[in-house]
Order: sequence, then structure tokens, then C-alpha cells
Amino acid sequence: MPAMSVRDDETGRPRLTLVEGGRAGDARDEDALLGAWLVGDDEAFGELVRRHQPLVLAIVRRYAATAEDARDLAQRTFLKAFESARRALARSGRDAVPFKRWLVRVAVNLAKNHRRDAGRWTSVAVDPERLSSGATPALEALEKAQATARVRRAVLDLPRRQREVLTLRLDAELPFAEIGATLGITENAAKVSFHLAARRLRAELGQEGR
Amino acid sequence: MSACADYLPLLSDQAAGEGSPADQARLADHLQGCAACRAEAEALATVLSLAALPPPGEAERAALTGLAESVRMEQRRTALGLRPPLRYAAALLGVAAAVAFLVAPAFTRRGPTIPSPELAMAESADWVAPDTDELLAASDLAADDGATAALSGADELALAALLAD
Repeated sequence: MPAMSVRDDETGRPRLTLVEGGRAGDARDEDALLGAWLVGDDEAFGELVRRHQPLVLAIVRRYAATAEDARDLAQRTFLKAFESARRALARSGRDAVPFKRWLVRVAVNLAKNHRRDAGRWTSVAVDPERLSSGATPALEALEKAQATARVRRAVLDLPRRQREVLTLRLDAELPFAEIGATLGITENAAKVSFHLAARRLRAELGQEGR
Repeated sequence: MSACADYLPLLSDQAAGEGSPADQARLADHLQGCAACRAEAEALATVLSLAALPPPGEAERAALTGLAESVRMEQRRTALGLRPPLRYAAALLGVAAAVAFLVAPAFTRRGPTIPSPELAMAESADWVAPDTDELLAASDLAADDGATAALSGADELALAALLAD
């Protein structure tokens, strides 16, 4: 059961909410689309890309320096995932790993290898109007921007497994069961990794406040 | 004051937006009477909201325009190129050529040949001295009759003195 991010009306902060269904749509549809693609159906291919491109973008954008960079990563992800899926389907047929799982695995690996710099999300712009509108909001805005940059940098510095679980949860909004299946660990292990990652980030934020 | 260790996993689940209804209800009961866990829940929510990225902007969404088509074109371009078995064959051919380039000189290079003493003796036994007249006739020197005629008078005198000595 995938989750979906919405904004909290009171605090304005994003919060995670569970919703039925999911981004990737029905798995049987996906099998049919993959089958059609394998026999040369361009429409099915296009539908698979369009269906999954928000998910792929959500995973890779944290590691991309620009929007074009993110597109390049997304394109490479699809190319590699289609190639892997074709080989897996030829080898294992119906028992092959679902296409979405290939995509997520490939996107996570490519994004990890792509991390040449800290990424554009480790610096946070501060609204100049807020800075000039009064001492307290300006200070708050600056402090929040600094804290945000620090926490996002700390996300990239998390141990690999913790980072993968945390970002697949926060960015891709995958449920822990799906994260576990994708990374080859149990749902419980995924929850533990998320817990450890959150605690580590919390400690990072606590250090900044001192 | 730190949060209750037993409730930390439930606090993480809540921050992640997961957890069974029973667990959520148990945590809610606990939070009513535990200030430390309430503070921890608030801190986790804060740090995760800071870690979360803003939704994709217009530029990011626009950059994905036509992605399906470009992926398909790239796939076709790759498919039109060498297929994997041919790629391996081409790579092997390249390696073989490189090895041949490195090894071939060892088989083709020849140093100066030094005849054995026995062969040199046999060849010298058959040697016949050339006729110097024939050699002179065949050379350009014999044809250069005017060479001495071009000498000046002083040169002739110097030559005569030299011959007299």
C-alpha cells in the first residue's frame, strides 16, 4: 500500500499519508504492457515510460545537480531497466522480477554512482522578502534554511542501506514492504534502517542547535 | 529526558506514515502521558520534513518532456549498432590485433647476418680479382678526359714539380 506526501495545513510541512493503490498502477496491466513491448509495441513502451517517469524522477533528483542532469539519469535508468527486464523475462518468464522493481533498483544504483557533488538540494534558497520583513522571521528563515541544508547533506552521508531506505520512503514514497523487496531485505529490516537513519538525522539536527 | 525505548520504533513508524492501527492507537495513548515521547515525535517529524525534497518544479517536469521518445530512439540506435555477440567478436579482434602488433616484431625482425668462418673461407676461395681496366672503363673517370686539360699553367708547373720530386 503506497504512501503519498501531502502538506500539513497547520504547519505547512510535508507529511506522509497512506493511500490505496499506487503510482505504478495495476501489476497485471504492467505485465501486459511489458509483453506488448517485447513484441515491438511502441505504444506500450511509451506508456511504461510515462507511467513510471515520476517515480524515477523522484528517486534520482536528490542526486542530480540540474533538471537536465535528472533527465539524463532518468533516461539511463529506463534504458538499463528495459535491458535488464528483457534479459530477465527471457530467462525467467513470468517469474521475473517486476519491471517497477528493476526500475527502482537501477535508479538507486545509478543515482548513487552519479553522486559527483553534494547535489543541488543541499543548499536551500532563503526568500529575500522574508529576510527583510522583520528580525524574527528573517532569523527563523535563515536558521531553517541552514538546518534544511545540513539535514539534506546528512542524508547523502548516511550509510548506504539507511540512505536507500530513507530516500525510497521519503522521495519515492514506497511502502516498507516494497522497499524491502526491492533491496532484497525484509520489511522489518527496512523499518529498522529507516529508524536508524531518522535517529542519525535527528542527532545531526540536535548538534546544529547547540 | 529521553523517549521511552519501547516506543521508539513506533515513533519512527508514525513519522514515516506507517504502522498498524493498533500500534497507532497504542502510541497515541502513550503520548498523552509522556512528554519525552511527544518531544521525540515532534523532533522526528521536523527532521524528516527538512530531509524531504520540495515537489518537482516546472523546470524538472518540463525536462522530462519527450523522455519516452528519446529513450526509444536511444534504444533503437543501440539496437542498430553491433549486437552483443558481434561486440564481443569485435573486441576479441581488437585484442588479437594488439597482441599481433606487439609480438610480430620478434618473428620478423632480423639483425645483421654474420657468415660462419667456414662459409667465409669457401667464398674467399672462389673470389676472382676484378679487371681494373674494365672497372675504369665502366666508371665515369675514364670519360673525363678534359679534367687535366682544364688545369691552369700554374697548376701544371706545380704538378711537374711534384712529379720531379
